[in-house]
Amino acid sequence: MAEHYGLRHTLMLTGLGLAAVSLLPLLVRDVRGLVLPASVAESAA
Amino acid sequence: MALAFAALRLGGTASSLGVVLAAGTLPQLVFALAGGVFGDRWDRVRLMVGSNVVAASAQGLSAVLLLSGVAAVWHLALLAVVVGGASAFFQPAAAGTVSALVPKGDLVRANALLQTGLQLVKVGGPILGGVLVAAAGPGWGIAVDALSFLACAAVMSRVRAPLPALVSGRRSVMRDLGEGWAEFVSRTWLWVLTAQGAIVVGAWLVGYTLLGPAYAQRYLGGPGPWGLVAAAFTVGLVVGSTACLAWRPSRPGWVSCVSSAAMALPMVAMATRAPLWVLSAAVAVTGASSNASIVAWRSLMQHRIPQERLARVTGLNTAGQLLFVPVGYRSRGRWPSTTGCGTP
Repeated sequence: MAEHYGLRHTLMLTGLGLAAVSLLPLLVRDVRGLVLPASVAESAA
Repeated sequence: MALAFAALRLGGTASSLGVVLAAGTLPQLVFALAGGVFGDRWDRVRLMVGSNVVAASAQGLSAVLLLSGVAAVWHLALLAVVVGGASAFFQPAAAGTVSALVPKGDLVRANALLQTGLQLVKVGGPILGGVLVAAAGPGWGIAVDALSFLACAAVMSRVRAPLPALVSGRRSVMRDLGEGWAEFVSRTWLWVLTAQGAIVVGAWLVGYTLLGPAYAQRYLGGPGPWGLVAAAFTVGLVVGSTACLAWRPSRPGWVSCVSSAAMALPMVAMATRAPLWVLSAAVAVTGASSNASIVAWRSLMQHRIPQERLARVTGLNTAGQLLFVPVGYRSRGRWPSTTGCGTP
């Protein structure tokens, strides 16, 4: 890919692709709704 | 580090270094599933001790071969496979042990403490390794590494973890694996974020680990400034895990996605030819956020996954996230020529 687009373009495409893929799971309700209990009491509840 | 220099000293090229590095990662991927199955079957502490003893033996043999002058690159690659395999059995057992030892409400702090220790070792390790390799050669560097595995085994053997209701060893491995897979796919958040991790880890390997040094060679004037960038990443890692000792990420889904997205910052900084300090700051932010994400993710898995299946699910998660790493290492030899930079 770097041969066609050059080093900096490849870096930009890789970075933007990475950011897009990273945020995609937020479209899933299960992922958005994940909660980690803050205390032992909350965890037990 | 000592292994990389040993491979290069034996006449290896960047490509053969890629083979040695891939040899360390590939078994982690392949054996992660088996490591998970046995982590739910056997005494996890004994499994961790055994993994360290195996790794110590392999590194010890590497050191003997190097010091006696008969080592070849394929010897190092084969022994790296053994060390990588041992690590694959260690990780799922370790995840289960932490979960068994620590009350659920304290998991974030426990994982933050473990990560902080690990990152501090990552700061000190290369310094010690560099001094050893420079002063005594890679063989002695690897010998010290072997001793460190033995020391770790000795410490681990003193851990007394309550045993979960382990899976019976009489069942077939495939059946146990199937049960772990069913647990894995039954939780949407788990397989979605594992799939995301596979792509993100692969993209990071290409964009930062492989193309970063090429960028430094072309635009920053050599490896010196890249050392500063690498140091900023390490500082970020330590800050990220230390921050989790005080800050508890309550929304791990958001933390995981946003911190993964932050990994794009260094690539965008390089693409736009940002000043060195901006690139270093971007890398530090990436290190801090990714470590906070690791702490939140491990704590979440230990909190949500039943103890008797945790090692298998951890193994599947690890295998998923490492899926594209060997491919990335093997592509290492292709990048420098296409970017106009010399092979290091």
